[in-house]
Amino acid sequence: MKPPTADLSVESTLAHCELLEPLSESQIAALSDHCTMVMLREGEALFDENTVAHSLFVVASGRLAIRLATPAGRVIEVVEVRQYGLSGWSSIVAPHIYVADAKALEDSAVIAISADEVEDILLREPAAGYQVMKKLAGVISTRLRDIKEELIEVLED
Amino acid sequence: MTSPDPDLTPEVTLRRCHLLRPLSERQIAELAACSTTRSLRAGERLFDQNDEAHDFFVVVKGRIAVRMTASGGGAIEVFDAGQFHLCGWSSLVAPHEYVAGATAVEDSTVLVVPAAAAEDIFLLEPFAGYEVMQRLAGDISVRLRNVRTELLGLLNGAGSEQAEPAQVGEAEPHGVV
Repeated sequence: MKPPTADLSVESTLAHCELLEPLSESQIAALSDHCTMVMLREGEALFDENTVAHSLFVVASGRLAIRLATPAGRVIEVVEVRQYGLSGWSSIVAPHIYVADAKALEDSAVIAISADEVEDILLREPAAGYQVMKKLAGVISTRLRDIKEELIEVLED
Repeated sequence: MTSPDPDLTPEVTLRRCHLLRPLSERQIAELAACSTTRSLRAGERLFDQNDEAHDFFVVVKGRIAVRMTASGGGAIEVFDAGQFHLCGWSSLVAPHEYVAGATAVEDSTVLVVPAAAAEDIFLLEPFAGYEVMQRLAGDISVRLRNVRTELLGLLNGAGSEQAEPAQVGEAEPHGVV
């Protein structure tokens, strides 16, 4: 395994993203042709809950926190996204609304790709696109299971 | 128990399932050919939470309640799957374990579709398969949002003294459990 900051080329970062692993080299190259790099300072927001989701993000360096909190500030869910991790998956599934906030936990560099471009590229080789979507459905399903368990705990308190 | 409507062939039932709508006639016919029909009495279990998930189900007739329980006995009513709704989608995605249990609310008939065979059929026309999986991801995402909203409501005090199992979310327009 490569050390976390050994190679920050866009293509290499995308190729290391587990969710995008089913894609071919040409699909990864096409994605890297259509992305921009976003630099975030510690504490800076990448996206806000309930906003329209246009972009998918892969962390090139640093860390993001995906958080859901009550208006009173009680955090009910935190997912930390590290190097090569993906966030903003709501952009490629209906209803295309971010379901949580994302903020930089430290100074971070994030690759941003338009969701429309992502879908076009996934569908160039739809069998690979299918596998990406299947992995994504599995990730969301696991998240759903976790939060249901949290809900049951709250109901039992 | 009454017989299911004879006009509801497996093909018709599968064709009317929202999640499977992107599939071609050929794919629907192949899914129908590999499916079997199962009848359940009211109260009978279809699958148990945490069981390995090998099959998904489309309701031909009746109603299936999907409920998640905790070791402490708490439970949430996740969804009632009515006619043409699909349940047991965990069979299609890792880790292939049912996230909730399912029981017939009334006498019911379901189509049982082996997930491994279904995936082969989806990939016969991968563009359609992609759309099915995208719909599934979207539907799970909506459910995730609903459960989060419910949880936020409870943490904000609304319904925090609720003793009965909570009904989570609205019935899904896409009928996926």
